[in-house]
Amino acid sequence: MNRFFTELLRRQDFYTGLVTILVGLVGLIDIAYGNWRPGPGLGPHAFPQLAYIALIIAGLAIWVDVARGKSDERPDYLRVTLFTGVVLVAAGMAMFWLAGKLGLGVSVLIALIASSFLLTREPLRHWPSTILVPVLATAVIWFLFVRIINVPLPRGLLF
Amino acid sequence: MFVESFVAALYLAFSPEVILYVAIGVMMGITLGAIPGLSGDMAIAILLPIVFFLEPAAALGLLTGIYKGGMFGGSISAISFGVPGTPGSAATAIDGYQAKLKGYPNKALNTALYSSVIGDTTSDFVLIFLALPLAIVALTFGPVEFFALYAFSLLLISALTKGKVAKGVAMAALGILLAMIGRDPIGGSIRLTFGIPELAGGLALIPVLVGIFAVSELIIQLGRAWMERARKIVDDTRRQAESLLGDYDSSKDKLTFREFRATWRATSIGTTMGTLIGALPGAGSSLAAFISYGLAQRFSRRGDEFGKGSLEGVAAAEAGNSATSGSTLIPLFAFGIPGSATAALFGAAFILMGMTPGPRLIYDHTEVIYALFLILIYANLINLALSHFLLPLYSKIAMIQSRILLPIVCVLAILGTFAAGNSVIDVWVLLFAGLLGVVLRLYNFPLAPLILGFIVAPGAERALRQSLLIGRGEWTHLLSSPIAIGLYATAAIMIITFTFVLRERK
Repeated sequence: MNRFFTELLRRQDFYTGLVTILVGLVGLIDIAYGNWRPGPGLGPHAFPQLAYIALIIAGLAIWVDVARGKSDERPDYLRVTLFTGVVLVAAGMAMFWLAGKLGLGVSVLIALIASSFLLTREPLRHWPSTILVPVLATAVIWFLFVRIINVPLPRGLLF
Repeated sequence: MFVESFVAALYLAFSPEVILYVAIGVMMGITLGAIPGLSGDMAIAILLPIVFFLEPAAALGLLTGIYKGGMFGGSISAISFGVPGTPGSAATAIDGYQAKLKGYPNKALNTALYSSVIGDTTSDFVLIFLALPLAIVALTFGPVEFFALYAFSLLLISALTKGKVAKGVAMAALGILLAMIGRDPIGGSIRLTFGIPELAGGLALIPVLVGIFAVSELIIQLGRAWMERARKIVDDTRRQAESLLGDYDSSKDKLTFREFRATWRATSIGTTMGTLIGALPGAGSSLAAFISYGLAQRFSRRGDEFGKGSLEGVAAAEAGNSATSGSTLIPLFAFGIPGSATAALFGAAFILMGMTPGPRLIYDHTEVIYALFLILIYANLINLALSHFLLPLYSKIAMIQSRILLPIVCVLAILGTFAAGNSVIDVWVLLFAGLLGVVLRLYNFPLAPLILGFIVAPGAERALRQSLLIGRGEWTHLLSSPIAIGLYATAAIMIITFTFVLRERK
């Protein structure tokens, strides 16, 4: 029995199911004790409540699958991918902030060249793809968003 | 009335501007579909905000072109390198890549192209002839029937997506919860905003769609590109692909009519299965391609050649994959329910252009929808012509390393999302939806139920609450209509049948 539980704890989907159940439970507690206004008929809390119950049932079903030996493997490149995601979110925010300070063209060019350099081995040797392509892409993007669509982006000091 | 609308649609569909946008879309779709890691769906998601600035017919022409091109583009890298450009072309890679290794890639590519166009065109005709009658039926629906329809779609899409029922249900529930953020549509109270006043208006469709579908995929591809940079994987793959073409004699690699005729039965099976499966919410092109491939093998006189470079195998898989393209739009046109990720993107495009998907869509925007029907048909011919002449070039395009394009696509996603709503909050939502999408993809949660849940939740909530108000709070009122009972029963039968079929396939 002990071995069965130890084996369960080693499986990836045990934790996936646990998080799913926890989200459902927290949601139901919020509906029970949170600041929800009553409304006509079922009220505004009814549909979210159904969704939270569905989450809990789904989490339990994931656990049943785990107990039957069905579980997904730990994802490959988990840390690298999550790190890339966090960096991209930060870079996206920074690029948008920079567009208001320096201008759309400059900030897009910096973002594209920086990312091309990061993703290419020996970036200077591959200058057509790490410098020329970003410059051309920036020109096209600037022309598309500023000249053709005329998007009211925050104006910066440069262009 | 019909004749007038049809003539107006002819003018719209065949205007030089629209034809040009369709051709651009087809070329973009094939190019992006051919590059592993990028796809036509991703291109549609990124361009959604931009179509807001185009005329409806031109915008739909561009999106249709990308969709059609992307469907076939995925098979180019599947056959050329054994790497499916899109999930739907995974079955094509089985025989397509073997054909390439045996020295006849051109025959395999042409078989894929012709069977893809045949499957796609047939499916489009089914859409055209079925959407209107179904929409007429849907106009008689009340809240009880609509709630049953929403529940039917959610159940089916959760149960059928990759066969992971529990994770599918969890995603549909998460999609519903994301849609609940903001104002309650009946009482007007604010829900689930976590004290952030900017969320009171709810999450906009574009940033959620683009974030979950495109940005999450971009992040994963960027992560891989970073790893490949460290390991030289791309260079090795490219060298291997080039060496395979070393002693290739193109004069012996031309598809004859006799060879194409021999694939006819497989193409027919793929077309029929793809069209049927495509119309079901959540079943998807990948499932259609594999089921078509399996059936074609079973009914073929040369079934033992499957998996060894059989052109029949390529034809069945590709016809099955492409035949989902028209029929997947049937639930969207008839009921306003997107049955697949692509249909959800088209639904979002309609909403952006001020057209509400559903049974009234054809009546309220007759000319545009008829024009779209015409575009769907002739886009296949443009796809056929462009692909036929540009196939050698496209095979080379498939070797472009995605790392060159990924940062540009990221910037386009961010700027496009801002352009659609002129809202900085949308950009934050886009980036965080992308991060959420990454986590869900990494842990093998299917994303299609989440998007369907997000799109149908407001309508489903309204239908449920209206039904219960009419039924004075009695839940049994939800079973008061024969149509509703029929829908619940059909959903149950389909889930059981498909679970059985999927188990057989394993």
